[in-house]
Amino acid sequence: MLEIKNLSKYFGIKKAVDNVSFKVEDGHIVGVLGKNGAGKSTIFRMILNILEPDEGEVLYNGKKIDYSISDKIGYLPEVGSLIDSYTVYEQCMYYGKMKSMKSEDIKNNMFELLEQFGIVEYANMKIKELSKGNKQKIQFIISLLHNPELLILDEPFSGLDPVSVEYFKKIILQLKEQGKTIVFSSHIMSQVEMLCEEVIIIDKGKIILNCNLEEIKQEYASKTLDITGKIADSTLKQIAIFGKIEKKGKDRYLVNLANKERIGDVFRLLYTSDITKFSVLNVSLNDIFLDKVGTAYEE
Amino acid sequence: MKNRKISAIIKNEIEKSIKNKWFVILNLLLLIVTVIGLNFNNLKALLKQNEVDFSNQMLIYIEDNDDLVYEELRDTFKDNEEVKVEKKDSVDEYKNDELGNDVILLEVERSDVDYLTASITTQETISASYIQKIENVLNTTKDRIVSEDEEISYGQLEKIKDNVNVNRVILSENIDTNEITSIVQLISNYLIFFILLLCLNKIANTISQEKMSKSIEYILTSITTKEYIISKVLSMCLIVVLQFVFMLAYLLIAVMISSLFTLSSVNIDGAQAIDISGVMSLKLVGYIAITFVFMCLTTFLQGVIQSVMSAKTTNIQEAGNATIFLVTLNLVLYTIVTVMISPLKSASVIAYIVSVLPIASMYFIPAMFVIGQANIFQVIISLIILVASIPLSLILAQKPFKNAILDYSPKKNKKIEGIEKIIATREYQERMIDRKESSKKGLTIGLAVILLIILQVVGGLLISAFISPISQKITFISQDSIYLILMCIVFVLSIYIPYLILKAYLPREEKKQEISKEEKKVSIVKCIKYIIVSIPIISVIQMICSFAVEKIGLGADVSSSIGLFNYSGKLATILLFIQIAILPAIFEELFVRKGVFGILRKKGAIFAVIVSALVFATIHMNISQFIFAFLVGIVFGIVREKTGKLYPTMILHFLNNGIAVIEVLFYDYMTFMEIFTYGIIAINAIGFCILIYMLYKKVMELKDKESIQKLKEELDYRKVKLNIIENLFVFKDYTFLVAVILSATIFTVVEKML
Repeated sequence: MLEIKNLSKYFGIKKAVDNVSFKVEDGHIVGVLGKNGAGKSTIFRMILNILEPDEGEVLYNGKKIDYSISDKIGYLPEVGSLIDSYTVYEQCMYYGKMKSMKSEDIKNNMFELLEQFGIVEYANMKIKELSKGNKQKIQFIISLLHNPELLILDEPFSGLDPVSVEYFKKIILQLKEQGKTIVFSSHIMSQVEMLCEEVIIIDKGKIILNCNLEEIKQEYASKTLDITGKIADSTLKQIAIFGKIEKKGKDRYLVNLANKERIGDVFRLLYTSDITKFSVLNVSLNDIFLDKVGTAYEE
Repeated sequence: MKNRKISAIIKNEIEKSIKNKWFVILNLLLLIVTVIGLNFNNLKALLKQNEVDFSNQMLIYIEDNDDLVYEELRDTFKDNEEVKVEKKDSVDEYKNDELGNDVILLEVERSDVDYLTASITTQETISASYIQKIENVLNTTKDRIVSEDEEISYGQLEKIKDNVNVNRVILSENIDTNEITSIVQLISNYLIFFILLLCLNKIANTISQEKMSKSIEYILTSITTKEYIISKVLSMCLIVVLQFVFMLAYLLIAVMISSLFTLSSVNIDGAQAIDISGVMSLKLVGYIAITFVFMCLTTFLQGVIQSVMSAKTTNIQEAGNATIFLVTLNLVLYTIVTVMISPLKSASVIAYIVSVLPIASMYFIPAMFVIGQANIFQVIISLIILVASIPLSLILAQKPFKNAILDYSPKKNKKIEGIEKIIATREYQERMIDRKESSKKGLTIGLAVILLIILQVVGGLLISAFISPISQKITFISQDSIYLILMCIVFVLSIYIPYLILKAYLPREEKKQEISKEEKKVSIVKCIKYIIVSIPIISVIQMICSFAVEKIGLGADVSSSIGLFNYSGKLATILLFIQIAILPAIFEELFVRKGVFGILRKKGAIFAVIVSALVFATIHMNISQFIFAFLVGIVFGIVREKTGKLYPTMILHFLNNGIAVIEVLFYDYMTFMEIFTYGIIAINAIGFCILIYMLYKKVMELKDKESIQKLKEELDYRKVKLNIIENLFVFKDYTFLVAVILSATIFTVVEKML
């Protein structure tokens, strides 16, 4: 379990990270969402012990993270961390050695992962000959090379085309099934939404939202009903007691309930009406963000 | 576990640099250059030999009145059709410059002491192989004579000739070992520079590169900063060592090829090989050992410092600049050592104190050891401090390194809160422009000073190269006078050309308004007053400086300055006077007090005075004169500022230099000197009185409150601080400082070499 306790970091006068605390259970995926410069990378660097926190501490399985357990952590830096003049194999060798791996293991793992990504032909190509997306793939491979328990992925989807994004998603979910703990960051909301169970939204170094995505979505979503069909005015008036009605189209209504316990009551009221569709609406993360922060999340 | 990671980095780094194609190309080039360089004479001989084959015959004229060698020599060259041996009664008539390239003059004579004496006269470009053959013949002849004279057999003779295995114990050094020591010292100093430069550069580049490719972030998740720095510095040092091993190998190959040449041309039995075991004194071995130990430790220490400095860089250009500080520091230390440590005088206390400091000890301790001034405690203490400073530097380096290496922002002021608002003001932007202008001014002055020094050094070298052919053509004046005339020309040109650069940057002078006679008179009186007042101040400075310089151990080389006055003839004396007293007074003042001062005046009077004094001190190009020239420069600057005119400082400069020249030139004329000395004392006394009067007046003025308030305003702490900070942008880009320091260093080194 990864535990972050009251983490703070100053850069000069500016407080880059302000009293951040959260927990990640083993085998869970946590997405850290925030705009550029919100402090995501700084938090990750402090988790990885590259930066010293000014206040607070980072614990992994109850132990402070230091270089003795760094071999169990996989890291995908936000910015390109590959050396242009190396070939993919040399790069893997170099970084693998940094994780105290044996040469044989590095080679085997590298080819396994390259095959998994379908880019075996790049093994002996130089980094500078690769495209941005392929570089990102190689970085991802390197972070997985030593089969880490904890994966820290800083903006894993940047520079990828939609097909590759799907691919990455699949692999990350596979890793989760293998029981790995994954923390990743993104500034794009939809990417966080589709991958993780828990989400942490950071703005100006502070956590403004930390919750289980499904739970909060249910909480928000269950309040809004999307009903299509011919409903009598008298019925509408009765429904209006439970919540605000918004007419969307000819026969379409959005009902915003004050209390989610009332869904059954509304459903019961409609049994005489000619209903073609009745659904509890899904709310996007953006709506939640809007509700919590007051302003829309810009990408 | 960690050690394996460190070694992985080192291995990776070394592999990377050796697999590099530039490494291969460089080494091939080095190999070729070394082989050709060491075999240059052989190659020349080889080419010459080929020439001989097609052109003239080789003539050997032999003066051999006792008939000792002639026949055997003729037999030796019997099969060689190109060589003709001719016997002459005397070869003296051929001994002149017109001797052909194909003639060897050989004189052989019986001697009672040495059995046989011989002399060979040729032009410079003659094949060494002929000489060696002749020497062989001479040797065998000598053996024959010896065996005949002393009635011993050849076998006995061989035994006699065998070298005795001598256990050499050297009590006092002779000239040979001294010479070799100085050569070794010179070579090792160059090696240290070369190694340091390479190491620092490589460290700066690799760290900057890893930072730019951001791979550092990944590596730092695996190993600590300390381990990272250690591995980087070690790997770079190892690469440089490896390069040196390669170079040694090339040297060996070249020597082998060279010996092959010699063997093929003549049969010699190893007599040509240089036997260095005899000249390698115990002291030399100690010197090399100490130098090596100190160099290794200091290089590592500097590598750590360099890695922190290069961690701050954000692009490759900055990485290059990051090495400037340490390289300059090393050059300065080297210069200080060459000046402060000399076998002719005992080292001062300051030298001993400085010598135990890390980095400085690398230069001081070996230099002091080799002349026998280092004591064992000094060596041990400096070694302990150096060794202790390495872990200390590593501990201290960690935090700044970590903070800097993860900071990718090129400008530091981004972090200041509300900087956007400040940037948007006109004052801020104007200040930025001002700073740029300042650094441009610094660059201009620095370049002008560099140009001045290079011109003077090159000019001096050219003069000494051409003086003899010129004086052969011009016979109506003495060589001394020609030399002095040329020196004057070089002096004037070397200052006037850089002055033209400065002149282009001088602010345009406003058109002079008509000045009334009255005002003119006032200004002249003011000038004279300042001149007279300055004289005693300069005298005091001179006294203090000569005392201080002696104490510090930067003793002025009196012998060389006296040598300067060793000229005879009236013309030479006048020329000397012009060169030392008049020309500097005009041109140095023009350069410093008009050029430099004029450019910097806008930045404030105090700043202009100090910097112009610094330049003034630098262009004297003499470490022992530096402090004196600096202080006098400040006095001159104040006079220039107060009077607003150039001629008072010119007169002062002329008086200062002129008095010194006259004192030396008329040293023998007792009566004149007496009058002269009394005159100077009188002027000093008058100046001193006026000075005290002026000070008194100033103090009286200050007593009234208004002027105190005014003075307080002028000396407002914040304003002064801000001003100083803004002014220091003149030194941005280091160009100015580098110019000042490097040029002084270069000159000192050149002077030493000459």
